[in-house]
Amino acid sequence: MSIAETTGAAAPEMPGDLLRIRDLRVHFPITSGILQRRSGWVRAVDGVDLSIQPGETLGLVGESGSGKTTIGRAIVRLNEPRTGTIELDGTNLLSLEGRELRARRRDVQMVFQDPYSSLDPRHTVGEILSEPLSVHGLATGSARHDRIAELLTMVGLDPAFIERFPHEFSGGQRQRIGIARALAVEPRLIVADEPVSALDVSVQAQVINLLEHLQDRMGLTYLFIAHDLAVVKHIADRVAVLYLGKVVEIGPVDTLYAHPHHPYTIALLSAVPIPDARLERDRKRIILKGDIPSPANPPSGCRFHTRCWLREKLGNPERCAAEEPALLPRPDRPGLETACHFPEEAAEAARPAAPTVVEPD
Amino acid sequence: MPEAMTETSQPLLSVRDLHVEFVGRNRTVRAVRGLSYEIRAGETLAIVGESGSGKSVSALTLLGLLPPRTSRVPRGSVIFEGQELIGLSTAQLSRIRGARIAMIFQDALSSLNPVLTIERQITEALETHTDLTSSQAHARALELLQLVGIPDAERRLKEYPHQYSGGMRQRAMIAIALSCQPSLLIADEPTTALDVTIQAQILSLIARLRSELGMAVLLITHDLGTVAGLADRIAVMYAGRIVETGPTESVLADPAHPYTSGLLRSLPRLDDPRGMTLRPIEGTPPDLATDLPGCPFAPRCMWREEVCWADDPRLLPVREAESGRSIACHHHPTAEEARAGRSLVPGFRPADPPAAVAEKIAVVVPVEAAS
Ligand SMILES: Nc1ncnc2c1ncn2[C@@H]1O[C@H](COP(=O)(O)OP(=O)(O)OP(=O)(O)O)[C@@H](O)[C@H]1O
Ligand SMILES: Nc1ncnc2c1ncn2[C@@H]1O[C@H](COP(=O)(O)OP(=O)(O)O)[C@@H](O)[C@H]1O
Ligand code: SF4
Ligand code: SF4
Ligand SMILES: [Mg+2]
Ligand SMILES: [Mg+2]
Repeated sequence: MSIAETTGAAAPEMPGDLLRIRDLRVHFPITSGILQRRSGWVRAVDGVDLSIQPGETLGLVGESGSGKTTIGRAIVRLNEPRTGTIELDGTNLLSLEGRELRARRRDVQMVFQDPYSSLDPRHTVGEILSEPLSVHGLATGSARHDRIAELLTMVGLDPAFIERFPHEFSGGQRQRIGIARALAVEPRLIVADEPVSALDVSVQAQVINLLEHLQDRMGLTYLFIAHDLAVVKHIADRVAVLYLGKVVEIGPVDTLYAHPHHPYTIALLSAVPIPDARLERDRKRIILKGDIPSPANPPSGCRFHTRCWLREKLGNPERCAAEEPALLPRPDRPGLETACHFPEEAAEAARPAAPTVVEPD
Repeated sequence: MPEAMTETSQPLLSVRDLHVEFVGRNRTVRAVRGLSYEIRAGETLAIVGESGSGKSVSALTLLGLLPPRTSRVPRGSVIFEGQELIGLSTAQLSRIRGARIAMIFQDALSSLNPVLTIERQITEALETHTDLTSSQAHARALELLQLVGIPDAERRLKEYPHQYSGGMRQRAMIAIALSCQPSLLIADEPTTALDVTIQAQILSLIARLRSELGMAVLLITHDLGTVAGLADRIAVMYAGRIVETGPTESVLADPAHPYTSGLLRSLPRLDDPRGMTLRPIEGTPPDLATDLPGCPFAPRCMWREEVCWADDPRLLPVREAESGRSIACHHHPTAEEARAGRSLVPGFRPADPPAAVAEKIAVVVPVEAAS
């Protein structure tokens, strides 16, 4: 019996969401001067709604500083949101405290990007995997060793490695240890923050396959954070595109990649190189100007307007800088939601047959 | 510069049988183990390989930038513009470095000087290698910053590296590298630390400058995607040497070496149909401090034969004679086998390692054979 069902929040035929985030805002204070007075806020995450169904993988993409990690860390309660709710099976994690929180924490585990710094170098693999089991009072006594051996086998490592230290492993092996540590407490949701970004291509593929295999076997749900859009296309069921702390487009992976309606998504996809020289020659590329602005002082109206190629093409309509576009469903593309005043014009310009669009530089 | 490619017989840079070692207290890492390649004037060659394959070390060797105490070059030759570089003094090398060969790195922040303005860093390079007056140097610095697409260049010249964003720092480093109009630009993972949108900016900048200035580019990267749009030729490196080389388009479309085809099968692609399984190369690259008698890829290779454990294959032509393709492999897969990731000969089994090898290193066995 999930709590979502008892509160009746979910639509009748739809399975309840496992995770539901509403209006999440995480702001970090900017302090200045010797008195460390607060002089402003970094609006790292600024009003985000997301939901993930059980067994689903939601990909979260966006440029550096767009707020991906901050969302992930808020879910595992590593930072405190200013506002919003994060519901797991209908229970708002942000309102839990003490024992209740500890019990619920088990359900959500995080895998980090850097397999080098996320494992304590002074502890053996056995000790590293033992820690979460101790915290939650799992597999106590003689069962502990067996459980650790089982976890190692699960992630494709030799159980004989139990006495070894992190520095004796390669990057890919360390990432497997990080995954085993997350799995130790049998979580329902895994927040994986760039879990393969630091790995070489051949090892990256090994770890992606492992994550997919574990999901099939254990019915895991993933929030998969990454900046590599090809990796996300491979692993995700749905994808959310983040820009300056806001979701600008979200939808089923096939729809979003084949029919993007947000100028930023279109530019991101066009920038991903494909290892095929003939394709690369004929592809049209939209090269964005400049860098992502500071989240301490986001642009007015549509936050993307300072770099938007479509706005320029449309003759800089006032509306883009004045009015913030809401994330609205695209009626002709089930599941796709886009936050742009001119989504049809964007999709039209992105169609392969259309003439090549702006290419500064 | 296609004219230059046809009329010159002498390559701009020719690396022959280069070996580089790092000597530690109780182990010697053989980071580069017989590397050979050529670059013609105006050409772009990409050296591709996973981390630790020796890409950066080989580039640093060309410029004499290796740590002098712990490294040595026991063998090999590097001829640049007709001159042997191996064995030159530090002073002689520094005259070439920055003037004829320039290098840009992955990490722009740590290769820029934090206490000097960008202008000072550009004019310093100009003063070392040219005899421009200071007002000429200022004008040139401004021109360079505009050339690499930094807006409001006059003001930006006066700023320090920390005031620049990641993409702008990379542009500034390129401006410094170009200051003396080098004939060869070495770019070591120039976009690895950048977001895709900024990566696209920098790659298109490099492509534009290359054709405007007629420079040759040695692009070092682990990303087969960035290679596709930029490089004329590609050289795939594994364990300190080249295992496959040829024109970019044909190598990517029809890889001949087991390692190259394995890399391509491992790579999720934007144009893949969804739900396609990745077929990674199992195992990990060899430890370069241990002795590798045979093919260094043998422990991970699904085509290996007896001979592969004993004999290190040499880089030899493959496919049609005029294709410009070469690989170092005793038993390379057919195109269908490369796609399948295993031999299609009925009953074929990758050769087991000799006992002495099996004791020392982990060897990948095919799943069918293991069960
Ligand atoms: N503890 C903190 N204090 C102040 N600012 C922070 C803190 N953590 C993150 N930020 C800021 O919040 C914004 C979002 O950061 P976040 O780490 O979530 O980005 P990201 O999308 O994960 O980027 P990347 O791709 O680089 O990992 C950035 O501007 C960052 O500098
Ligand atoms: N200064 C150094 N001292 C000792 N070993 C080094 C040094 N620099 C690189 N190596 C070793 O040389 C090998 C090749 O390194 P590198 O050229 O940096 O690889 P790549 O650039 O292909 O990732 C690696 O095994 C690396 O650990
Ligand atoms: S609302 Fe305007 S500025 Fe924003 S993405 Fe759409 S067209 Fe571009
Ligand atoms: S077939 Fe032999 S030589 Fe060729 S890559 Fe495999 S092990 Fe090396
Ligand atoms: Mg992050
Ligand atoms: Mg390197």
